[in-house]
Amino acid sequence: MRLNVSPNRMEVLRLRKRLLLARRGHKLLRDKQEELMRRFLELVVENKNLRDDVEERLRKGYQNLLFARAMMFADTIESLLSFTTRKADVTVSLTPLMNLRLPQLHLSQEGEVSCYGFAETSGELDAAISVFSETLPLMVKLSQIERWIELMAQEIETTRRRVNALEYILIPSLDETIRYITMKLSERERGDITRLMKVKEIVR
Amino acid sequence: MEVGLGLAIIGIALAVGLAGAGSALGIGYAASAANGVISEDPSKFGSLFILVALPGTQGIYGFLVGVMVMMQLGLIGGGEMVAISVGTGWQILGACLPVGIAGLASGAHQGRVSAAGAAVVAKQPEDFFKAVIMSAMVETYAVLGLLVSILLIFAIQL
Amino acid sequence: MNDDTRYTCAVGKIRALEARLIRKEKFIQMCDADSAEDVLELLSDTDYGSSLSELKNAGDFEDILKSEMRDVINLTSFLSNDPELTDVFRLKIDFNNLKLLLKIKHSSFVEDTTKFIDRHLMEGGLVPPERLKKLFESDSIGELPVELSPVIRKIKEEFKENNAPQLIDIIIDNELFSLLKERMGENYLLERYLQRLIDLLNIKNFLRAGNLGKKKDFLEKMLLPGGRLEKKLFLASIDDREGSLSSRLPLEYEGLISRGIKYYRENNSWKELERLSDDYVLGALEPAKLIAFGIEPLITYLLAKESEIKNIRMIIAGKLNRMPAELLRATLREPYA
Repeated sequence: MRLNVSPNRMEVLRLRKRLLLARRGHKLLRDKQEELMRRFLELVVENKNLRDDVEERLRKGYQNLLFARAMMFADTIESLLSFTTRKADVTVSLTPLMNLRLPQLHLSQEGEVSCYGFAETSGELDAAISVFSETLPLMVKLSQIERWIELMAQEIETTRRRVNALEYILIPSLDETIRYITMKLSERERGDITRLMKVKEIVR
Repeated sequence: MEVGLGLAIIGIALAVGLAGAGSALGIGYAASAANGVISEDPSKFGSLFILVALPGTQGIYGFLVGVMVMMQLGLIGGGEMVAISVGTGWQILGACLPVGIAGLASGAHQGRVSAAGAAVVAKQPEDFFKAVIMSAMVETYAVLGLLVSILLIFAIQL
Repeated sequence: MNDDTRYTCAVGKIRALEARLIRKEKFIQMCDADSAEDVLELLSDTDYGSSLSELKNAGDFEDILKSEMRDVINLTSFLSNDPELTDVFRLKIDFNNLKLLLKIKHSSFVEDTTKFIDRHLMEGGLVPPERLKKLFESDSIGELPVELSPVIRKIKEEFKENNAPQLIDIIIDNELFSLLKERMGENYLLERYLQRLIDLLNIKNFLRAGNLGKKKDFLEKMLLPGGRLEKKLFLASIDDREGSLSSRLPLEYEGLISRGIKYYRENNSWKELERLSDDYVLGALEPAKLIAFGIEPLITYLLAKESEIKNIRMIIAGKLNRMPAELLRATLREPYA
């Protein structure tokens, strides 16, 4: 697709500069895309492992909880677990990666988790609670990774679109326009020469 | 003479009363246990009835001895009243005691055995007869008491 | 003979009811069933059948089991001539309700409290939940039954500075078990049951506390009174809990504790210890099967039913969560029947 410009030498020079810039930009963006892809794939693998791990832990924890619940007097487990001195808080900070701002989650916990009496609770409850409290930091990490993956996927998508736009639209059309203008110019030159030769003959 | 008759009547009273008391106690235990079972499982009534009825025999034995003495003495049956001495009176009183005492003790205990038997019937209905046999073992001694009482009564020379 | 013939009828009734307790083979069938629905199907010819058949969703089975437990406690109270003794099982519910109310009062609990209380206060205690709530709000503790009011006072005294909900549980549990000891202590069989219960709970909780890294002063508070094993014994083996404790235990407990600890080391779970303990504790009441005149069969039936309900709850919940059948079978409590 040819750009709509007037075919003159100035324009060719300008277009050549733009083409150079576009090529450089294209190369940079490609590099960025590759780097993003590499990190993205790493994260995806990590995410999968972490998710499997968390799910396995939670499955075990729920199994413990189930037995604890079945063995306890009546249905007191919920009211027992509602009272705890453990406080958990998540703070967010941002870390830059290329042009992304990735959120970093920090989990802070304090206080005792197991705030129930022992006489009427099953030992399985301890196990369940310890599994869950060990899993919490992993779950926070997991959500951080998943958010990163989401942001990176978006970024990769836009970068890819830019690369494609440069590669398939801007660069070819610049190329084409430059070729058009140079052809136009040399055509005009040839016309001038013919015209000159014709004038010379008439004059002779 | 009146003293002799009085002693004999005390004998009758003891035979009937003690044996009857034994049966009443026994049936009391057995029947309340049976009621408990029936409240949950009315279909067991048939077997339980037999277990409850078992301790009732002592009362009948006592009654039997009492009536026999009365007949011997002519107190019933419209015949002439037999005059008995004080010694005979004591003899009759003594003759009445075996069935009375054996009836009291065996009736009460048979009732307990039957009450436990009711539990067997509740849990393993197929073992009903075993429970009845256990309960009937206690009966043996009431029967022996009855036998001795009857033999003694016939042995006494009026 | 030390027979209590007032219970002749009650024992008869209990025997008939005992005949309907679920047997081991049935439980094994239930464990091997394919789904929770199949388990309910298997239960249809038991005492639970009629109420379970009205159940639309297998997930609601908990309510049925809860009301079944209430019925058993009510039946025992109804048949009992010693309310002092049978009331303890209702008081257990009251104590649990108290725990909840006291914890709400003494800790910073943010959720909508009235709704929370309404949802978690349990029916079936000596004091109905509504009344308990009202008396508690108006602070008229004096009107509560004599067993409850001293507990509240005690908590109020000990709880000025400390804000750990765990302490409330511990104080109330201690009170409950002293009460049990007081009420059951006069009956030979029940006392034996209670001693085994307290000892095994203490042993288990001692080991649990060790794993959670609890210190000596915590143990001193937590250990329940009234067992055969004294606190001294536990406190002496505080440094090497598993090792030196089992060497100090009486022969009676040694075997099951060492099996429980072995299972814990391999699987990181107290399941096996709890199962063995439960079976052993209930085993103390085995002789009640032979008692025809006395309160023991009543109490035994109540506890046997409680254990049965535990089993059913575990199996159905396990099936709903697709637990393997072997695991369920290995956790099954020995049925009394």
